[in-house]
Amino acid sequence: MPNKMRMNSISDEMFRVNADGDRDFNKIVASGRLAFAEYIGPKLNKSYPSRLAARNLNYADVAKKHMVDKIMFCASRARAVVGRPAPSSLEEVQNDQTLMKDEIFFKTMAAIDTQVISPIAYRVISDLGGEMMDVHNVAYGGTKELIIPSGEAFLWEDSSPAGGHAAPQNYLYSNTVTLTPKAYACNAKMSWPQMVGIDNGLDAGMYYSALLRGFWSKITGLFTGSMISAFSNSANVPSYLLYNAYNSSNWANATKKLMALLNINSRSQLAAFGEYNALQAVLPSGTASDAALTYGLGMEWMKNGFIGVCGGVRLFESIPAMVPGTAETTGSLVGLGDNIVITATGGAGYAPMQAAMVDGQPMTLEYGFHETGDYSIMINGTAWFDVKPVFARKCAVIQNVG
Amino acid sequence: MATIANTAFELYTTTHAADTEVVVPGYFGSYSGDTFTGDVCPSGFLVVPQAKAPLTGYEHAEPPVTLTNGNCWNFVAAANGTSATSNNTGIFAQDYQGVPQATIQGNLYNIGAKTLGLELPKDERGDFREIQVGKQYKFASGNFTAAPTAANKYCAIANGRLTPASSKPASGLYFEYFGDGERRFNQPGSTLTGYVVMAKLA
Repeated sequence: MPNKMRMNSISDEMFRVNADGDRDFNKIVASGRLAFAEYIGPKLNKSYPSRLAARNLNYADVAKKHMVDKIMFCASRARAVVGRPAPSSLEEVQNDQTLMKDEIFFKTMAAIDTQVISPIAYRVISDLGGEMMDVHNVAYGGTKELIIPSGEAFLWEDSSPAGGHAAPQNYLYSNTVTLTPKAYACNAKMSWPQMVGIDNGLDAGMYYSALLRGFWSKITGLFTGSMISAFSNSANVPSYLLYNAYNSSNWANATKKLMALLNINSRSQLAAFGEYNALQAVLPSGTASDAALTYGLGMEWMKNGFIGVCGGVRLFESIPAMVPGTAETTGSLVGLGDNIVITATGGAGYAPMQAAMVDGQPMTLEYGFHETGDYSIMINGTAWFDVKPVFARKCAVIQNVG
Repeated sequence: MATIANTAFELYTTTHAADTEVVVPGYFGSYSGDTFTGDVCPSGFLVVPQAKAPLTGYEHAEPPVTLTNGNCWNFVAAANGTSATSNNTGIFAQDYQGVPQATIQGNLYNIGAKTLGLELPKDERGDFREIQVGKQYKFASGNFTAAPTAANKYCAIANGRLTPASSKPASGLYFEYFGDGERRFNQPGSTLTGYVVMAKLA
């Protein structure tokens, strides 16, 4: 089983200054990771344990210091190559027009940014899928091969005192699924003032988040899109687990059958994921006493947006991602849409969706100025990802909710 | 396009300047009306972009959006070279730079690190290099319908492959063979040979 990589469970090791290599470089990488994690962690998990708050440190200060240190470090490296002294202030770097055409400056910055983003990217993607998706690491050019064991049970037949060996054979056939990460790329342009913080307030978290956010949208789309497409395949979601409307009866049938299938004995081992609109609709519906049952739920529904538990099953909001380019027009979202997915939290078997990213650096960054032709700065990001529906651990799906 | 034996492609001469080398991602297949059906694409197979490929991941966006890639294409076989009228010919050769891929019992695997003559699997994204006038390319023997000779040195494009003839085509892109003989590819254990040709406009 893959290790679950969660923002909440990031090892402190990741924020320590690596003893190997350049200590200054490692210090900047460590502070960048800290700032980025503090920025993005609470957005993913309300219960994200802030390392800064625990030490009475202020995010804005840490984030700004990291950005200044990074820019100064890159400038020092670039100047050192040609024998110039290190800059004494950020302003000196901002006004040094040789640096905006210096390959060493950009190479150093891309190296730092890649090191900052990579480990966090793993966790962001892993958190995004929640219990619905496992994320594996694969070597570059490699294949992740998953052996999916059968979820079936043996059939016990009626027999006789001496006829036991005459019972038909049962088999548990395994299946194989492979994940071969595919390339995704993004080109962007940035001006010198933007890059060295003349006009962006030097917020490290925002800077790294902007680099990652588009990728996040893409991964959300690939993951949820693949999952929604898989719902219509009865090999993934058998008809007895697929319901085309929400009501209390369907909720009861879905959870009851899922518990029997997964051989679990507590509803607390199930979790339901959906977007806010869908979760809002999860209220007593179609029972003999809808009005009376709903009466006491009003305060929780209003305060939390939806009831936290329905029929013993915990509800979790799945946040959709904005489709890039639609922010000013349709505001289109990718996510679970009007589907609610009920699945077991952990337990046996692979999660319904399986994903793989390339090991080491899930996202590589390259900065340069030659390619743009106008001395603006080119940013090229490349990432490798693959996702497949496996549904070894079955889930129930309720569609057209909300 | 079914698999073609002994296909390979090399950029033989280049200036290495990024803006003169155009390599774009894409899929290979054929169209029936507006419907694209993916297919395997042999190395060095000559293709033309027919339409921008749909952008994956946003098929279920709500409200729906129709998003296509900006520069990732659905390629089809180049029937001939007549569409080319300038240095940027708009005709591409399959030049996949990944690792070998094979489908075994229904599962796609990345296998090994062979780098020459890689066939692009059906429905997988690969690299396609635009043919540019004046540059020399090396195609393996399987990319020709017949071996070029000093007499038949003008290689016109015919359904993704090169067909040598004694005269130039009437218009468009063709490849000229300078008679420098059959050449080995530097791959251990391989007897694969090919020919160096220069892209030209009729």
